[in-house]
Amino acid sequence: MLEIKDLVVNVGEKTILKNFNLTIEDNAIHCLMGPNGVGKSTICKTILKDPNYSIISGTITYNGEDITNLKTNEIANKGIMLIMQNPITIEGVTNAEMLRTALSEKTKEHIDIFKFNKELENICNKIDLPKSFIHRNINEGMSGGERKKNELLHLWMLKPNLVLIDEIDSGLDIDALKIVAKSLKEYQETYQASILIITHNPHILDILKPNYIHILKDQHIIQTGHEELLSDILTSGFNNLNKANSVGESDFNE
Amino acid sequence: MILMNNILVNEEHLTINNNIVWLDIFVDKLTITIEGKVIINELTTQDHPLDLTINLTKNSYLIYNRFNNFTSSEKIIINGNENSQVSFNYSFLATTKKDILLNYDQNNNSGNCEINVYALAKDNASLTIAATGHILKSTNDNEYLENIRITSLNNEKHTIYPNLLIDTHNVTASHNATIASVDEEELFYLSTKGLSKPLATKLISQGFLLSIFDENYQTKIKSILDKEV
Repeated sequence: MLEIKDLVVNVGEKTILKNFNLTIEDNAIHCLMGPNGVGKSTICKTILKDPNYSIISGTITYNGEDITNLKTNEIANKGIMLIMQNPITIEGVTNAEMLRTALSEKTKEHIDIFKFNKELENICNKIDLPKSFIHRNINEGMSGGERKKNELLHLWMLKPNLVLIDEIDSGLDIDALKIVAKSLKEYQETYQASILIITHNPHILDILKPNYIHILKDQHIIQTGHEELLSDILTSGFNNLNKANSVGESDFNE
Repeated sequence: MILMNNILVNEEHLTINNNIVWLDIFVDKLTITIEGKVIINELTTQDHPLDLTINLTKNSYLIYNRFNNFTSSEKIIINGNENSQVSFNYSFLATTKKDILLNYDQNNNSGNCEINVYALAKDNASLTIAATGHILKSTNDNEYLENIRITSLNNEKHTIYPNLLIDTHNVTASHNATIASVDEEELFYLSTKGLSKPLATKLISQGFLLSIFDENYQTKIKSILDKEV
């Protein structure tokens, strides 16, 4: 379980999040929504300790352990993974090489190359990604959709317990979107993982069926609800929310 | 027919014709003449200064792959020819002061030259790379691209002189020179996958040095890089 309490986050001198509280229990899907520029991506990057974001106060605990001051790789190796909105290119570093190094670092065990390659090939089949991508440089020469599928390859190999997903739908056509969303749902069900997804895309939410919808505005979560809240947002936008469809923080934590 | 040969170079002149060769250069001064289609993969085993001249003949085609972790300074001159094509890919790992002088001269028409030099500087390395493309008067339809990059893992001074000496109106020429430390975004990305900063730096540095080569040459130099980076 991830618990964020009274978090204040700055970028430089500017406060992006203030009094930010969020609890993500095991085996649950949470969706974070909000107007553009309110800091939705900030929370994902802050949890993973992006050096551009400073935690001024507050705590982040994961499975009872305070991870507020851990390094990014230490947090990742606790089982938290971030799928970025725009996964970057790393020239000369292949998916296989990175994943083999990451798994070896995480497990501190020798990686059986035969099993490793077989698993990569099986995942490529599952997510409709050519096997040639295994030995391609990370995201190099890949379209937006291919990059997102490439991140799914990393997801299925690294098997995190909590996945933070930032606008995965950007750059995806409708067919790719369905494949990605179904793969995420299958992953969540297979490993009883938790997901925090930032998206406004109704197609992806229709497949993922989040347990909770959170609205981020004015530097913190102003409202939490379920499907009805999503309907309200899709119908009326963020300025005319129907408070009747929201649940209080105490209800949510129960 | 294309043959693949390993050549130990002990003489100062070498002519290579339609071949794929692996070169181990033992001399300090060498002139190579290229005829037909040639791929040179250089894997020199001993550290020594090198004064290398590559003469391209008419209609010749050359891919030259070169990697080393030597301390010695080097001078490389490539002489283009009519309708010649050359891709000179050189990456090196430096730990001490090192100077590289690299010239391309073209006195004919329709030549194509791409020069990629990628250097990784660590420990006490201080690098100076001077790369000059000289397209001479009265030539036409030549193309020249010069791409020089240094990734620095230390705080020493590094200098690149990217020179274009163009004496004709009908040419396509460009150059790119960058000196930078390891990209913070790349480090963060790999850290989110669970890699520690030293491991991420190693992967990024290796990838940088390997990225200009084909898979065949990459495989050969990976073992050297694993030990050194």
